[in-house]
Amino acid sequence: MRSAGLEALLVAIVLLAGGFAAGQWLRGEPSHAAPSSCPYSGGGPPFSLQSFEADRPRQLYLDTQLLAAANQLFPEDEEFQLFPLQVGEQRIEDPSATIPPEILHAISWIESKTNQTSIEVPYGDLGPALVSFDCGYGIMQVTSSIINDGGLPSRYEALTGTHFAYNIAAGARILAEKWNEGFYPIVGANDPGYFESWYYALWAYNGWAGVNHPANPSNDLFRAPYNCDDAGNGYPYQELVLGCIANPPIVDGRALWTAQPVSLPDLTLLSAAGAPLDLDVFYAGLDSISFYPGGPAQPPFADMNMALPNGAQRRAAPDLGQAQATRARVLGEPDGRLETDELALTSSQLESGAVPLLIHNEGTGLLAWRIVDAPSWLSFGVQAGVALGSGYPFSNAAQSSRLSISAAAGGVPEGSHRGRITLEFHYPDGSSSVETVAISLDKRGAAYYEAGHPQS
Amino acid sequence: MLRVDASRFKLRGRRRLVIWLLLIVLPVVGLLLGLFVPRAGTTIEFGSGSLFESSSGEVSPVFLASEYHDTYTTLWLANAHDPDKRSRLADIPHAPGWDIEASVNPIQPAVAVLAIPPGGWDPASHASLLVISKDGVRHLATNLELRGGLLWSDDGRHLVAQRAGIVLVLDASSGTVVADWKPTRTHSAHPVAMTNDTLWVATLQSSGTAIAEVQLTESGPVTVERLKLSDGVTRDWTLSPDGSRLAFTEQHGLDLRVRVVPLHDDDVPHLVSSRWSVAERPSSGSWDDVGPSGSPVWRPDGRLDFGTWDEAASEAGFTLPIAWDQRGEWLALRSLDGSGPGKVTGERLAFRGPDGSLVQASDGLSFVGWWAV
Repeated sequence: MRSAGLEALLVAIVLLAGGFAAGQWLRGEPSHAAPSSCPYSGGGPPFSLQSFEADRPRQLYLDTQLLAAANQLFPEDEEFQLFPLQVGEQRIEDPSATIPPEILHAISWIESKTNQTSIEVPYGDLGPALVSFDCGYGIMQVTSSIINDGGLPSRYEALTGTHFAYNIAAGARILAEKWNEGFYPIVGANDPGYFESWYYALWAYNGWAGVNHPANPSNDLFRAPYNCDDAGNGYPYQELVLGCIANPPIVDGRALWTAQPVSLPDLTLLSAAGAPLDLDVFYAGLDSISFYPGGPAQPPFADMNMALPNGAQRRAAPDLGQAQATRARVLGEPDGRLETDELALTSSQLESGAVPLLIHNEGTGLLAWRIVDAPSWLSFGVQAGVALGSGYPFSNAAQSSRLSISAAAGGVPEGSHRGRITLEFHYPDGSSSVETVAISLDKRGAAYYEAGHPQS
Repeated sequence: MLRVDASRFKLRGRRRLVIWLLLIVLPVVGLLLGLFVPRAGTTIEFGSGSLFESSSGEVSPVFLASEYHDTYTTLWLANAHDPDKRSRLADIPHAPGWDIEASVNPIQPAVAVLAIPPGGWDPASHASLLVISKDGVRHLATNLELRGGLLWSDDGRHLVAQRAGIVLVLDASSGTVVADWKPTRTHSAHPVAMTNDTLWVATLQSSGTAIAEVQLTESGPVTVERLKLSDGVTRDWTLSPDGSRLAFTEQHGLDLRVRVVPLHDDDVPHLVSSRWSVAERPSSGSWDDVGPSGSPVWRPDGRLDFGTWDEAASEAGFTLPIAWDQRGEWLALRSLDGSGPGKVTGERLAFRGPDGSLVQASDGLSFVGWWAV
């Protein structure tokens, strides 16, 4: 009797809870659910990627940004090397010119709080890559050149989404592209050694839109200089980044980098009628593009060129004497190995859940991998990922990457299936290796059992 | 092995009826709870009536303020005379780095909130709209612009927000979009007010700023008038309590001037090209006397206040009005350090009482609105 009462209570709880869950569901999904599609970059779902979160003080990321800013990270990699910066009013390429690394530090903080994975992933651990609602990936929230069309990720897409160093390199490259683009106005003599010179490139990095104009009515004219631990509402993007450089974020009681003095444009003078930061001048530039589809005769925003603000100081180039050692420490020497090159699957395995394929990194740093080809009757938990090797002092041990294999939507038809999963392992020197796993699956249906199998 | 005790299914008479009733009633109760119990993450604690009394026993109005933290913002109900006497209304989780935008219902004790949920990053399209009232938290819409403006209609039944450059009017109960309006040939639109069935929207274009009067008819929104406000940029648009005049700040660089324009005065041309001709004198002072000015705020009786500053006196700081309470006795203010726009180094929230005394709130509080009583 007591047992029956308990069961009745359990049933009641289940019914109540079921109804509650249904009610919460009917109210709509919580709006922080992962994005289901990327309308501005392919229209398909975002890539499902596994990544790695480094240390909480972000030292590994800061060191990586130091290298990326000076093209010391992947100088030979055509997809991730930094574009040579164009310097001076004539925009002459100068291979020795670099991005002040604090600019990358601040961008990454504004974009992602300098995180490569979703917030729930512990520091020093593997987990889902950070993917924003508008399908920006990782630390630098890279969206450019990533096409979410429902297919498998390209090398660029996979590395940008999974490996922090490539993500940082991609962000630095996009910023350099904005710096070099003659479409945008320049500050002073277009010398990248000044933080202040990056005003327009930073604006363009976020979007060459009116909301980033310092005099736009959406931005508070009585705003104090931005502090990186404050809310960003009411500030144009470039002021967020420049303010963050001067007022860096505090993590565990310590500033992430040394505060650097930055002078902002004097809006009293520069936003006056006809001056470079007059909102009407910006709108006139936009109109000149809209009204003349063939393109205006001169750069449309040339009237926005402005002098360096008073107090701007040229920043000494950072000491890169230890660049090679830092690079070796950041990237390590990964050594990838598949757990097996042959996988025999059973239909019950596939239908009851995913079958794991382990990818080991027997070296140091991160081994980045991606799927390049696979049978259509299989689906995967992630399309690319990283395997953690040894060597990072903040991670306790190497962690293998786990590729979960399951049946594609609609299930696997009955019969005998043979196929091959092809993976590519990527190494910091730009090389890659192709690894394959032979897959076999014999799927037997009801007829198999009715015929007397299995026989004992 | 699963064993089934068939005797459990042999139910008879009244017992069977009770079981069937429970099978129907329990899921329904659960469903209703699920629909109306707020989700975890946003807690609500409505302030008690004693909030209207300050520590010294004086009755003064209650305001709603927000306090930003990296991953959430706290909404506080507090007493204007004694801002430290406060009660937590809700914690709103949000994406790091982006504060909420909020607007208080003018009729009922409720607040609408735009927030970028955790996982979102883009203020241009990731904001969600919530309404917090005594009934709990309602999630009304997603994919809105965080910085596109948020306001209630005068009757407290509709909300105005923006999505992808389209101004939306939403039913505040259901979140249903009851009207939408897309401005043409504008660089940006800024909802100003919604009175009866009329929406007022400031529009910025290369030729200056205009105010559009949009009537929301059953056949769709109709733009009935576009009144040019300035050849340049304007901001801080605010409609007078009787809806007859619009105050705003005209902006030439950082040279700011408060202006007032009648909206329905046949003697004043509705479309003007001259930069200054539409401006009326404010109710107190004259333009020549006032000099740089901004942040106009209407009193309930129709008089206008605005902030001024002296750019030569950087030590003194200055104040900007935010809003008068419903009785026109208490004024919420921004107390700013610095000498004027572009030269501010810090700020706090403050209140000026009926006796002229100034009360400062704790650092970190931002005024959202006066709480309806």
